[in-house]
Amino acid sequence: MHDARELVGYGLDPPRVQWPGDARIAVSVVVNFEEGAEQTPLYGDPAVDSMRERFAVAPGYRDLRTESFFEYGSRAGFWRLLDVLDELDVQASFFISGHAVEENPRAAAEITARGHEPCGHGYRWAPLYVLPVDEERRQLLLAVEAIRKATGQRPLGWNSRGQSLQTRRLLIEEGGFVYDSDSYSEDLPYFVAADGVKWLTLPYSFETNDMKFFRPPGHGTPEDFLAQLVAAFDCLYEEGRTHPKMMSIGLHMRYSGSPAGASAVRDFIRYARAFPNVWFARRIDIARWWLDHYAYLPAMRS
Amino acid sequence: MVWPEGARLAVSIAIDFEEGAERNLLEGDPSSEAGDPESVSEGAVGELDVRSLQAESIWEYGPRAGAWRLLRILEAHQVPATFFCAGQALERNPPLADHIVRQGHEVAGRGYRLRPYYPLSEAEERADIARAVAIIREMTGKAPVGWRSRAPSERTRRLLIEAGSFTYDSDFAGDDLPVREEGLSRSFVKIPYTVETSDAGYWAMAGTPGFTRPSDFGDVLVRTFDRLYAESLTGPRFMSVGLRLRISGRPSRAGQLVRFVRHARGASRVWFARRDAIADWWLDQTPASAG
Repeated sequence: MHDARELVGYGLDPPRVQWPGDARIAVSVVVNFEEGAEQTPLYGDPAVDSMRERFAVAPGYRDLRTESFFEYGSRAGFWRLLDVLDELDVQASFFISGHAVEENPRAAAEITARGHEPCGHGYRWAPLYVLPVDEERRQLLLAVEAIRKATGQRPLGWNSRGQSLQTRRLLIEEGGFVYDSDSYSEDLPYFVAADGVKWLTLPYSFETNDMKFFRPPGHGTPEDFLAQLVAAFDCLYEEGRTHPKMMSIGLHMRYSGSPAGASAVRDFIRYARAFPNVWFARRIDIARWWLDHYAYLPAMRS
Repeated sequence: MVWPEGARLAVSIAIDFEEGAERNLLEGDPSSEAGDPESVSEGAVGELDVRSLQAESIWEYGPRAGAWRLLRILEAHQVPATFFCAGQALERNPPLADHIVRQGHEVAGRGYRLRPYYPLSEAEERADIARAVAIIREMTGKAPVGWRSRAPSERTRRLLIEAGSFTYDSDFAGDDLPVREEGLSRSFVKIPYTVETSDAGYWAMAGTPGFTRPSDFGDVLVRTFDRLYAESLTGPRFMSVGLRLRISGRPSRAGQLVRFVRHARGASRVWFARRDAIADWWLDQTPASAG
Protein backbone atom coordinates (compact mmCIF):
# COMPACT_ATOMS: atom_id res chain seq x y z
CA MET A 1 0.00 0.00 0.00
CA HIS A 2 1.19 3.52 -0.84
CA ASP A 3 4.14 2.26 -2.87
CA ALA A 4 2.75 3.85 -6.05
CA ARG A 5 0.81 7.07 -6.38
CA GLU A 6 -2.47 7.58 -8.23
CA LEU A 7 -2.20 10.64 -10.42
CA VAL A 8 -4.90 9.85 -13.00
CA GLY A 9 -7.95 9.14 -10.86
CA TYR A 10 -11.37 9.75 -12.36
CA GLY A 11 -9.78 12.21 -14.78
CA LEU A 12 -11.78 12.97 -17.91
CA ASP A 13 -14.59 10.57 -17.11
CA PRO A 14 -15.88 10.82 -13.55
CA PRO A 15 -18.97 8.67 -12.96
CA ARG A 16 -22.31 10.36 -13.54
CA VAL A 17 -23.53 10.02 -10.02
CA GLN A 18 -27.17 10.00 -9.11
CA TRP A 19 -27.63 11.17 -5.54
CA PRO A 20 -30.88 10.66 -3.61
CA GLY A 21 -33.68 12.90 -4.86
CA ASP A 22 -31.66 13.63 -7.99
CA ALA A 23 -29.55 16.06 -6.00
CA ARG A 24 -27.01 18.06 -8.00
CA ILE A 25 -24.62 18.17 -5.06
CA ALA A 26 -24.02 16.29 -1.82
CA VAL A 27 -22.87 18.66 0.91
CA SER A 28 -21.11 17.19 3.94
CA VAL A 29 -20.73 19.49 6.92
CA VAL A 30 -17.91 18.30 9.16
CA VAL A 31 -17.43 19.59 12.68
CA ASN A 32 -14.07 18.77 14.22
CA PHE A 33 -14.36 17.93 17.92
CA GLU A 34 -10.76 17.91 19.04
CA GLU A 35 -10.56 20.50 21.80
CA GLY A 36 -9.22 18.96 24.97
CA ALA A 37 -7.20 16.42 23.01
CA GLU A 38 -4.59 18.86 21.75
CA GLN A 39 -0.99 18.77 22.88
CA THR A 40 -0.16 20.32 26.20
CA PRO A 41 2.46 19.68 28.88
CA LEU A 42 -0.49 18.83 31.15
CA TYR A 43 -0.72 15.51 29.30
CA GLY A 44 3.03 15.00 29.24
CA ASP A 45 3.56 16.49 25.78
CA PRO A 46 6.81 18.40 25.33
CA ALA A 47 5.06 21.60 24.29
CA VAL A 48 1.74 23.19 23.63
CA ASP A 49 0.24 22.32 20.25
CA SER A 50 2.56 23.54 17.56
CA MET A 51 -0.15 24.94 15.35
CA ARG A 52 0.14 28.34 16.98
CA GLU A 53 -3.58 28.76 17.25
CA ARG A 54 -3.49 31.92 19.28
CA PHE A 55 -0.50 32.51 21.48
CA ALA A 56 2.85 30.99 22.19
CA VAL A 57 4.90 30.31 25.26
CA ALA A 58 8.31 28.73 25.65
CA PRO A 59 8.40 24.95 25.17
CA GLY A 60 7.73 22.95 28.29
CA TYR A 61 5.39 25.47 29.88
CA ARG A 62 1.65 25.19 29.92
CA ASP A 63 -0.05 27.86 27.88
CA LEU A 64 -3.22 28.63 29.75
CA ARG A 65 -4.33 31.22 27.22
CA THR A 66 -4.18 28.70 24.37
CA GLU A 67 -5.82 26.03 26.50
CA SER A 68 -8.61 28.45 27.21
CA PHE A 69 -8.95 29.27 23.53
CA PHE A 70 -9.38 25.57 22.78
CA GLU A 71 -11.78 25.16 25.69
CA TYR A 72 -14.07 27.76 24.17
CA GLY A 73 -14.76 25.35 21.33
CA SER A 74 -15.88 22.53 23.56
CA ARG A 75 -17.71 24.70 26.08
CA ALA A 76 -19.46 27.36 23.98
CA GLY A 77 -18.77 26.93 20.27
CA PHE A 78 -20.08 23.38 20.17
CA TRP A 79 -23.52 24.38 21.43
CA ARG A 80 -23.82 27.33 19.09
CA LEU A 81 -22.98 25.18 16.07
CA LEU A 82 -25.46 22.54 17.21
CA ASP A 83 -28.13 25.24 17.34
CA VAL A 84 -27.33 26.41 13.82
CA LEU A 85 -27.42 22.84 12.49
CA ASP A 86 -30.71 22.19 14.29
CA GLU A 87 -32.28 25.40 13.09
CA LEU A 88 -31.46 24.61 9.47
CA ASP A 89 -32.09 20.88 9.78
CA VAL A 90 -28.59 19.80 8.76
CA GLN A 91 -27.06 16.58 10.01
CA ALA A 92 -23.30 16.74 10.23
CA SER A 93 -20.37 14.41 10.73
CA PHE A 94 -18.23 15.08 13.78
CA PHE A 95 -14.52 14.24 13.50
CA ILE A 96 -13.88 13.34 17.11
CA SER A 97 -10.61 12.98 18.98
CA GLY A 98 -11.32 10.37 21.63
CA HIS A 99 -9.85 12.23 24.54
CA ALA A 100 -11.85 15.34 23.70
CA VAL A 101 -15.16 13.57 24.29
CA GLU A 102 -13.82 11.86 27.41
CA GLU A 103 -13.38 15.39 28.73
CA ASN A 104 -16.90 16.47 27.69
CA PRO A 105 -19.28 13.48 27.70
CA ARG A 106 -22.37 15.67 27.94
CA ALA A 107 -21.61 17.34 24.63
CA ALA A 108 -20.64 13.98 23.14
CA ALA A 109 -24.01 12.45 23.98
CA GLU A 110 -25.75 15.37 22.31
CA ILE A 111 -24.00 14.68 18.99
CA THR A 112 -25.78 11.38 18.49
CA ALA A 113 -28.97 12.45 20.28
CA ARG A 114 -29.46 15.08 17.59
CA GLY A 115 -28.77 12.70 14.74
CA HIS A 116 -25.22 13.67 13.85
CA GLU A 117 -22.55 11.14 12.98
CA PRO A 118 -19.54 10.45 15.21
CA CYS A 119 -16.33 9.74 13.25
CA GLY A 120 -12.85 8.96 14.52
CA HIS A 121 -10.16 11.66 14.49
CA GLY A 122 -7.45 10.10 16.64
CA TYR A 123 -7.36 9.64 20.36
CA ARG A 124 -5.17 12.63 20.97
CA TRP A 125 -5.34 15.44 18.43
CA ALA A 126 -1.85 14.97 17.07
CA PRO A 127 -0.20 13.78 13.86
CA LEU A 128 -0.21 10.02 13.41
CA TYR A 129 2.78 9.74 11.09
CA VAL A 130 5.24 10.15 13.97
CA LEU A 131 3.86 7.16 15.91
CA PRO A 132 5.33 3.65 15.87
CA VAL A 133 2.76 1.26 14.41
CA ASP A 134 1.96 -0.44 17.72
CA GLU A 135 1.33 2.90 19.37
CA GLU A 136 -0.81 4.06 16.46
CA ARG A 137 -2.87 0.87 16.73
CA ARG A 138 -3.24 1.32 20.47
CA GLN A 139 -4.44 4.91 20.06
CA LEU A 140 -6.84 3.94 17.27
CA LEU A 141 -8.51 1.39 19.53
CA LEU A 142 -8.60 3.90 22.39
CA ALA A 143 -10.30 6.42 20.10
CA VAL A 144 -12.95 3.93 18.97
CA GLU A 145 -13.71 2.97 22.55
CA ALA A 146 -13.80 6.54 23.86
CA ILE A 147 -16.19 7.61 21.09
CA ARG A 148 -18.42 4.58 21.57
CA LYS A 149 -18.59 5.19 25.29
CA ALA A 150 -19.24 8.92 25.07
CA THR A 151 -21.65 9.04 22.12
CA GLY A 152 -23.23 5.60 22.31
CA GLN A 153 -22.12 4.76 18.75
CA ARG A 154 -18.87 3.45 17.39
CA PRO A 155 -17.32 5.52 14.61
CA LEU A 156 -17.81 4.13 11.10
CA GLY A 157 -15.67 6.78 9.42
CA TRP A 158 -12.22 8.16 10.13
CA ASN A 159 -10.11 11.20 9.35
CA SER A 160 -6.52 11.48 10.53
CA ARG A 161 -4.53 14.44 11.54
CA GLY A 162 -1.51 13.52 9.41
CA GLN A 163 -2.17 9.92 8.41
CA SER A 164 0.76 7.53 8.39
CA LEU A 165 1.64 4.87 5.85
CA GLN A 166 -0.08 2.38 8.18
CA THR A 167 -3.29 4.21 9.05
CA ARG A 168 -5.51 2.71 6.37
CA ARG A 169 -4.21 -0.78 7.09
CA LEU A 170 -4.96 -0.33 10.79
CA LEU A 171 -8.50 0.87 10.04
CA ILE A 172 -9.14 -2.22 7.92
CA GLU A 173 -7.59 -4.45 10.56
CA GLU A 174 -9.79 -2.97 13.29
CA GLY A 175 -12.72 -4.26 11.29
CA GLY A 176 -15.59 -1.93 12.15
CA PHE A 177 -14.98 1.01 9.84
CA VAL A 178 -16.96 1.59 6.65
CA TYR A 179 -14.85 4.37 5.13
CA ASP A 180 -12.10 6.88 5.75
CA SER A 181 -11.70 10.53 4.77
CA ASP A 182 -7.92 10.53 4.43
CA SER A 183 -7.97 11.78 0.86
CA TYR A 184 -7.95 15.25 -0.63
CA SER A 185 -7.61 14.32 -4.27
CA GLU A 186 -11.08 14.02 -5.81
CA ASP A 187 -14.49 15.69 -5.75
CA LEU A 188 -16.23 12.33 -5.35
CA PRO A 189 -15.88 9.24 -3.17
CA TYR A 190 -13.75 6.49 -4.65
CA PHE A 191 -12.42 3.03 -3.91
CA VAL A 192 -8.78 2.26 -3.23
CA ALA A 193 -7.06 -1.08 -3.35
CA ALA A 194 -5.73 -1.53 0.16
CA ASP A 195 -4.35 -4.79 1.54
CA GLY A 196 -6.42 -6.84 -0.87
CA VAL A 197 -9.57 -4.97 0.16
CA LYS A 198 -11.63 -2.58 -1.94
CA TRP A 199 -11.75 0.28 0.49
CA LEU A 200 -13.93 3.37 0.35
CA THR A 201 -12.57 6.87 0.89
CA LEU A 202 -14.62 10.08 0.94
CA PRO A 203 -12.30 13.00 0.19
CA TYR A 204 -12.18 15.82 2.71
CA SER A 205 -11.05 19.38 1.97
CA PHE A 206 -8.71 22.00 3.36
CA GLU A 207 -9.95 24.41 0.71
CA THR A 208 -13.38 24.93 2.21
CA ASN A 209 -12.24 24.72 5.80
CA ASP A 210 -12.30 27.31 8.53
CA MET A 211 -8.74 26.44 9.54
CA LYS A 212 -7.76 29.01 6.95
CA PHE A 213 -8.58 31.64 9.56
CA PHE A 214 -5.37 30.54 11.24
CA ARG A 215 -2.97 29.82 8.41
CA PRO A 216 -1.67 32.48 6.07
CA PRO A 217 -2.69 33.05 3.40
CA GLY A 218 -6.14 32.45 4.74
CA HIS A 219 -9.35 34.15 5.62
CA GLY A 220 -9.36 37.54 7.26
CA THR A 221 -13.04 37.73 8.07
CA PRO A 222 -16.09 35.46 8.24
CA GLU A 223 -17.19 37.08 4.96
CA ASP A 224 -14.03 35.66 3.37
CA PHE A 225 -14.89 32.17 4.54
CA LEU A 226 -18.47 32.59 3.38
CA ALA A 227 -17.23 33.80 -0.03
CA GLN A 228 -14.96 30.75 -0.29
CA LEU A 229 -17.82 28.36 0.52
CA VAL A 230 -20.22 30.08 -1.88
CA ALA A 231 -17.66 30.02 -4.70
CA ALA A 232 -17.02 26.31 -4.25
CA PHE A 233 -20.72 25.54 -3.98
CA ASP A 234 -21.57 27.54 -7.11
CA CYS A 235 -18.90 25.73 -9.13
CA LEU A 236 -19.90 22.25 -8.00
CA TYR A 237 -23.63 22.96 -8.26
CA GLU A 238 -23.14 24.10 -11.85
CA GLU A 239 -21.09 21.00 -12.66
CA GLY A 240 -23.84 18.98 -11.01
CA ARG A 241 -26.10 19.63 -14.00
CA THR A 242 -24.36 16.71 -15.65
CA HIS A 243 -21.93 15.38 -13.04
CA PRO A 244 -23.11 15.69 -9.44
CA LYS A 245 -20.24 16.00 -6.99
CA MET A 246 -19.60 16.08 -3.27
CA MET A 247 -18.58 19.13 -1.23
CA SER A 248 -16.94 18.90 2.19
CA ILE A 249 -17.02 21.81 4.61
CA GLY A 250 -14.60 21.64 7.52
CA LEU A 251 -15.55 23.47 10.70
CA HIS A 252 -13.84 23.73 14.06
CA MET A 253 -15.76 24.56 17.19
CA ARG A 254 -13.13 27.02 18.41
CA TYR A 255 -13.26 28.95 15.10
CA SER A 256 -16.73 28.58 13.59
CA GLY A 257 -18.33 28.24 17.00
CA SER A 258 -17.67 31.91 17.65
CA PRO A 259 -20.63 34.23 17.17
CA ALA A 260 -19.21 35.73 13.97
CA GLY A 261 -18.01 32.38 12.66
CA ALA A 262 -21.30 30.62 13.32
CA SER A 263 -23.22 33.38 11.64
CA ALA A 264 -21.17 32.91 8.45
CA VAL A 265 -21.81 29.16 8.57
CA ARG A 266 -25.51 29.85 9.00
CA ASP A 267 -25.47 32.25 6.05
CA PHE A 268 -23.83 29.64 3.87
CA ILE A 269 -26.28 26.89 4.76
CA ARG A 270 -29.20 29.24 4.12
CA TYR A 271 -27.63 30.20 0.79
CA ALA A 272 -27.25 26.57 -0.28
CA ARG A 273 -30.69 25.63 1.04
CA ALA A 274 -32.25 28.17 -1.30
CA PHE A 275 -31.27 26.01 -4.30
CA PRO A 276 -33.30 22.97 -5.31
CA ASN A 277 -31.74 19.51 -5.37
CA VAL A 278 -29.13 20.01 -2.66
CA TRP A 279 -28.48 17.01 -0.44
CA PHE A 280 -27.02 17.87 2.96
CA ALA A 281 -25.82 14.52 4.19
CA ARG A 282 -23.74 12.88 6.84
CA ARG A 283 -20.68 11.18 5.46
CA ILE A 284 -21.93 7.76 6.49
CA ASP A 285 -25.09 8.35 4.41
CA ILE A 286 -22.97 9.28 1.41
CA ALA A 287 -20.76 6.24 2.03
CA ARG A 288 -23.71 3.87 2.22
CA TRP A 289 -25.26 5.36 -0.91
CA TRP A 290 -21.95 4.87 -2.68
CA LEU A 291 -21.61 1.26 -1.54
CA ASP A 292 -25.20 0.53 -2.58
CA HIS A 293 -24.96 2.10 -6.04
CA TYR A 294 -21.33 2.36 -7.12
CA ALA A 295 -19.67 -0.75 -5.74
CA TYR A 296 -18.90 -1.76 -9.33
CA LEU A 297 -16.42 1.09 -9.79
CA PRO A 298 -12.80 -0.08 -9.92
CA ALA A 299 -10.36 0.53 -7.09
CA MET A 300 -7.59 3.09 -7.55
CA ARG A 301 -4.06 2.88 -6.20
CA SER A 302 -4.50 5.63 -3.64
CA MET B 1 4.50 47.23 -33.66
CA VAL B 2 1.23 45.55 -32.87
CA TRP B 3 0.31 41.96 -32.16
CA PRO B 4 -1.24 39.79 -34.90
CA GLU B 5 -4.45 41.11 -36.44
CA GLY B 6 -3.91 44.49 -34.90
CA ALA B 7 -4.24 43.32 -31.33
CA ARG B 8 -3.06 45.70 -28.62
CA LEU B 9 -2.78 43.31 -25.70
CA ALA B 10 -1.48 39.75 -25.75
CA VAL B 11 -2.68 37.54 -22.89
CA SER B 12 -0.94 34.29 -22.00
CA ILE B 13 -2.56 31.77 -19.69
CA ALA B 14 0.30 29.70 -18.28
CA ILE B 15 -0.60 26.56 -16.35
CA ASP B 16 1.91 24.49 -14.41
CA PHE B 17 1.40 20.75 -14.66
CA GLU B 18 3.89 19.49 -12.13
CA GLU B 19 2.05 17.28 -9.65
CA GLY B 20 3.63 13.86 -9.44
CA ALA B 21 7.11 15.26 -10.08
CA GLU B 22 7.52 16.97 -6.73
CA ARG B 23 10.04 15.97 -4.08
CA ASN B 24 9.07 12.68 -2.47
CA LEU B 25 10.89 10.10 -0.36
CA LEU B 26 9.26 7.52 -2.63
CA GLU B 27 11.48 8.81 -5.44
CA GLY B 28 14.62 8.60 -3.36
CA ASP B 29 14.59 12.31 -2.53
CA PRO B 30 15.94 13.30 0.88
CA SER B 31 12.55 14.78 1.88
CA SER B 32 8.93 15.01 0.80
CA GLU B 33 7.34 18.21 -0.40
CA ALA B 34 4.65 19.98 1.51
CA GLY B 35 5.20 23.49 0.28
CA ASP B 36 1.62 24.46 -0.25
CA PRO B 37 -0.72 26.20 2.14
CA GLU B 38 -3.27 23.52 2.04
CA SER B 39 -0.54 21.08 2.97
CA VAL B 40 1.49 23.33 5.20
CA SER B 41 -1.58 23.09 7.32
CA GLU B 42 -2.66 20.21 9.47
CA GLY B 43 -0.48 17.19 9.54
CA ALA B 44 1.73 18.05 6.61
CA VAL B 45 5.20 16.80 7.20
CA GLY B 46 7.25 19.45 5.47
CA GLU B 47 10.89 18.67 5.55
CA LEU B 48 10.87 15.71 7.90
CA ASP B 49 12.07 12.36 6.64
CA VAL B 50 8.54 10.93 6.55
CA ARG B 51 6.16 10.84 3.61
CA SER B 52 3.11 13.03 3.97
CA LEU B 53 0.22 11.18 2.37
CA GLN B 54 -1.90 14.20 3.15
CA ALA B 55 0.31 16.55 1.17
CA GLU B 56 0.66 14.01 -1.65
CA SER B 57 -3.11 13.72 -1.86
CA ILE B 58 -3.55 17.49 -1.99
CA TRP B 59 -1.10 17.63 -4.90
CA GLU B 60 -2.78 14.69 -6.64
CA TYR B 61 -6.03 16.63 -6.79
CA GLY B 62 -4.41 18.79 -9.49
CA PRO B 63 -4.07 16.26 -12.32
CA ARG B 64 -6.94 14.05 -11.13
CA ALA B 65 -9.67 16.68 -10.83
CA GLY B 66 -8.46 20.28 -11.12
CA ALA B 67 -6.90 19.94 -14.56
CA TRP B 68 -10.13 18.82 -16.16
CA ARG B 69 -12.06 21.69 -14.68
CA LEU B 70 -9.57 24.22 -16.08
CA LEU B 71 -9.51 22.46 -19.46
CA ARG B 72 -13.29 22.61 -19.68
CA ILE B 73 -13.19 26.34 -19.01
CA LEU B 74 -10.50 26.94 -21.64
CA GLU B 75 -12.45 24.87 -24.14
CA ALA B 76 -15.74 26.62 -23.44
CA HIS B 77 -14.13 30.02 -24.02
CA GLN B 78 -11.83 28.91 -26.85
CA VAL B 79 -8.70 30.09 -25.07
CA PRO B 80 -5.36 28.50 -26.00
CA ALA B 81 -2.95 28.12 -23.10
CA THR B 82 0.62 27.11 -22.39
CA PHE B 83 1.11 24.17 -20.04
CA PHE B 84 4.51 24.08 -18.37
CA CYS B 85 4.82 20.35 -17.79
CA ALA B 86 7.25 18.45 -15.62
CA GLY B 87 8.32 15.32 -17.50
CA GLN B 88 7.60 12.96 -14.67
CA ALA B 89 4.11 14.43 -14.19
CA LEU B 90 3.37 13.88 -17.89
CA GLU B 91 4.64 10.30 -17.76
CA ARG B 92 2.25 9.55 -14.95
CA ASN B 93 -0.84 10.93 -16.64
CA PRO B 94 -0.88 10.09 -20.35
CA PRO B 95 -4.64 10.77 -20.73
CA LEU B 96 -4.17 14.30 -19.46
CA ALA B 97 -1.12 14.86 -21.66
CA ASP B 98 -3.07 13.67 -24.71
CA HIS B 99 -6.02 15.88 -23.90
CA ILE B 100 -3.88 19.00 -23.49
CA VAL B 101 -2.40 18.45 -26.94
CA ARG B 102 -5.70 17.49 -28.58
CA GLN B 103 -7.31 20.64 -27.27
CA GLY B 104 -4.66 22.74 -28.96
CA HIS B 105 -2.61 23.89 -26.01
CA GLU B 106 1.15 24.22 -25.92
CA VAL B 107 3.22 21.74 -23.94
CA ALA B 108 6.32 23.50 -22.66
CA GLY B 109 9.04 22.27 -20.33
CA ARG B 110 9.34 22.51 -16.57
CA GLY B 111 12.13 20.04 -15.83
CA TYR B 112 11.85 16.30 -15.53
CA ARG B 113 11.49 16.46 -11.76
CA LEU B 114 10.03 19.55 -10.14
CA ARG B 115 13.15 20.85 -8.44
CA PRO B 116 15.32 23.93 -8.33
CA TYR B 117 18.21 23.89 -10.74
CA TYR B 118 20.59 26.19 -8.91
CA PRO B 119 21.98 23.51 -6.55
CA LEU B 120 22.58 20.99 -9.36
CA SER B 121 25.85 20.37 -11.17
CA GLU B 122 25.93 21.38 -14.81
CA ALA B 123 25.84 17.73 -15.88
CA GLU B 124 22.82 17.00 -13.68
CA GLU B 125 20.98 20.04 -14.94
CA ARG B 126 21.74 19.25 -18.58
CA ALA B 127 20.55 15.67 -18.09
CA ASP B 128 17.32 16.78 -16.43
CA ILE B 129 16.56 19.18 -19.29
CA ALA B 130 17.36 16.50 -21.87
CA ARG B 131 15.10 13.99 -20.16
CA ALA B 132 12.25 16.51 -19.98
CA VAL B 133 12.64 17.32 -23.67
CA ALA B 134 12.74 13.64 -24.63
CA ILE B 135 9.54 12.85 -22.72
CA ILE B 136 7.66 15.78 -24.17
CA ARG B 137 8.77 14.79 -27.66
CA GLU B 138 7.76 11.19 -27.04
CA MET B 139 4.37 12.00 -25.54
CA THR B 140 3.32 14.93 -27.71
CA GLY B 141 5.24 14.25 -30.93
CA LYS B 142 7.05 17.57 -30.71
CA ALA B 143 9.99 18.90 -28.73
CA PRO B 144 9.14 21.86 -26.49
CA VAL B 145 10.11 25.36 -27.61
CA GLY B 146 9.34 26.99 -24.25
CA TRP B 147 10.53 26.50 -20.71
CA ARG B 148 9.88 27.65 -17.17
CA SER B 149 12.19 26.41 -14.40
CA ARG B 150 11.08 25.89 -10.86
CA ALA B 151 14.12 27.97 -9.99
CA PRO B 152 16.78 28.49 -12.64
CA SER B 153 20.53 28.38 -12.22
CA GLU B 154 22.91 30.89 -13.76
CA ARG B 155 23.43 28.52 -16.67
CA THR B 156 19.88 27.33 -17.33
CA ARG B 157 19.31 29.64 -20.28
CA ARG B 158 22.58 28.62 -21.90
CA LEU B 159 21.73 24.94 -21.46
CA LEU B 160 18.29 25.50 -22.98
CA ILE B 161 19.83 27.17 -26.01
CA GLU B 162 22.35 24.33 -26.34
CA ALA B 163 19.50 21.81 -26.15
CA GLY B 164 18.40 23.11 -29.53
CA SER B 165 14.61 23.17 -29.62
CA PHE B 166 13.92 26.23 -27.48
CA THR B 167 12.96 29.69 -28.65
CA TYR B 168 11.91 31.13 -25.31
CA ASP B 169 11.94 30.74 -21.57
CA SER B 170 9.77 32.27 -18.87
CA ASP B 171 12.43 32.41 -16.17
CA PHE B 172 12.03 36.13 -16.29
CA ALA B 173 9.92 38.71 -14.54
CA GLY B 174 12.00 41.80 -15.24
CA ASP B 175 9.77 43.65 -17.68
CA ASP B 176 6.22 44.07 -18.94
CA LEU B 177 7.10 42.87 -22.43
CA PRO B 178 9.08 40.01 -23.93
CA VAL B 179 12.78 40.75 -24.32
CA ARG B 180 14.95 39.34 -27.09
CA GLU B 181 18.24 37.87 -25.92
CA GLU B 182 21.05 39.48 -27.86
CA GLY B 183 24.38 38.05 -28.95
CA LEU B 184 23.29 34.46 -29.24
CA SER B 185 23.90 31.98 -32.00
CA ARG B 186 20.14 31.59 -32.37
CA SER B 187 17.01 33.63 -31.80
CA PHE B 188 15.72 33.46 -28.26
CA VAL B 189 13.28 35.56 -26.28
CA LYS B 190 12.44 35.88 -22.59
CA ILE B 191 8.68 36.00 -22.00
CA PRO B 192 7.73 37.33 -18.56
CA TYR B 193 6.03 35.15 -15.96
CA THR B 194 4.47 37.43 -13.37
CA VAL B 195 4.02 36.22 -9.81
CA GLU B 196 1.58 39.00 -8.97
CA THR B 197 -0.86 37.76 -11.60
CA SER B 198 -0.39 34.11 -10.71
CA ASP B 199 -2.34 32.10 -8.17
CA ALA B 200 0.67 32.12 -5.84
CA GLY B 201 -1.20 34.58 -3.64
CA TYR B 202 -3.41 31.71 -2.53
CA TRP B 203 -0.56 29.71 -1.16
CA ALA B 204 3.07 30.45 -1.83
CA MET B 205 3.78 33.45 0.28
CA ALA B 206 3.25 32.08 3.75
CA GLY B 207 3.78 34.83 6.24
CA THR B 208 2.32 37.42 3.91
CA PRO B 209 -1.39 38.17 3.87
CA GLY B 210 -2.00 36.75 0.39
CA PHE B 211 -5.48 36.25 -0.99
CA THR B 212 -8.13 35.87 1.65
CA ARG B 213 -10.91 34.85 -0.73
CA PRO B 214 -11.06 33.66 -4.35
CA SER B 215 -12.21 36.97 -5.78
CA ASP B 216 -8.97 38.59 -4.57
CA PHE B 217 -7.15 36.83 -7.41
CA GLY B 218 -9.77 37.85 -9.93
CA ASP B 219 -9.52 41.43 -8.69
CA VAL B 220 -5.78 41.47 -9.37
CA LEU B 221 -6.30 40.00 -12.84
CA VAL B 222 -9.05 42.42 -13.81
CA ARG B 223 -7.16 45.42 -12.47
CA THR B 224 -3.99 44.35 -14.29
CA PHE B 225 -5.89 43.81 -17.51
CA ASP B 226 -7.64 47.17 -17.36
CA ARG B 227 -4.43 49.09 -16.69
CA LEU B 228 -2.47 47.29 -19.42
CA TYR B 229 -5.32 47.71 -21.86
CA ALA B 230 -5.36 51.45 -21.22
CA GLU B 231 -1.59 51.59 -21.66
CA SER B 232 -1.81 49.61 -24.87
CA LEU B 233 -3.14 52.71 -26.66
CA THR B 234 0.50 53.80 -26.85
CA GLY B 235 2.10 50.45 -27.69
CA PRO B 236 1.67 46.70 -27.41
CA ARG B 237 1.29 45.18 -23.99
CA PHE B 238 1.61 41.67 -22.62
CA MET B 239 -0.14 40.00 -19.67
CA SER B 240 0.85 36.74 -18.00
CA VAL B 241 -1.71 34.76 -15.99
CA GLY B 242 -0.22 31.90 -13.96
CA LEU B 243 -2.29 28.98 -12.70
CA ARG B 244 -1.60 25.68 -10.98
CA LEU B 245 -3.79 22.62 -11.30
CA ARG B 246 -3.99 21.89 -7.58
CA ILE B 247 -4.66 25.52 -6.68
CA SER B 248 -6.76 27.21 -9.35
CA GLY B 249 -8.33 23.90 -10.31
CA ARG B 250 -10.17 23.77 -6.98
CA PRO B 251 -13.92 24.48 -7.13
CA SER B 252 -13.79 27.73 -5.17
CA ARG B 253 -11.09 29.23 -7.40
CA ALA B 254 -11.74 28.05 -10.95
CA GLY B 255 -14.48 30.65 -11.30
CA GLN B 256 -11.89 33.42 -11.24
CA LEU B 257 -10.49 32.18 -14.55
CA VAL B 258 -13.99 32.32 -16.00
CA ARG B 259 -14.48 35.81 -14.61
CA PHE B 260 -11.19 37.03 -16.06
CA VAL B 261 -11.66 35.50 -19.49
CA ARG B 262 -15.16 36.94 -19.78
CA HIS B 263 -13.84 40.35 -18.76
CA ALA B 264 -11.01 40.24 -21.28
CA ARG B 265 -13.27 38.92 -24.04
CA GLY B 266 -15.39 41.99 -23.54
CA ALA B 267 -12.60 44.16 -24.97
CA SER B 268 -11.59 44.29 -28.61
CA ARG B 269 -8.08 43.75 -29.95
CA VAL B 270 -7.04 41.28 -27.26
CA TRP B 271 -4.98 38.33 -28.38
CA PHE B 272 -5.17 35.20 -26.20
CA ALA B 273 -2.12 33.28 -27.30
CA ARG B 274 0.18 30.41 -26.51
CA ARG B 275 3.65 31.51 -25.55
CA ASP B 276 5.25 29.81 -28.52
CA ALA B 277 3.15 32.00 -30.82
CA ILE B 278 4.06 35.07 -28.80
CA ALA B 279 7.74 34.14 -29.04
CA ASP B 280 7.57 33.63 -32.80
CA TRP B 281 5.78 36.91 -33.34
CA TRP B 282 8.16 38.83 -31.11
CA LEU B 283 11.25 37.39 -32.78
CA ASP B 284 9.77 38.13 -36.19
CA GLN B 285 8.88 41.72 -35.33
CA THR B 286 12.00 42.68 -33.42
CA PRO B 287 15.05 41.90 -35.53
CA ALA B 288 18.27 41.18 -33.72
CA SER B 289 20.53 44.21 -33.49
CA ALA B 290 23.37 44.15 -35.98
CA GLY B 291 26.75 42.83 -34.93
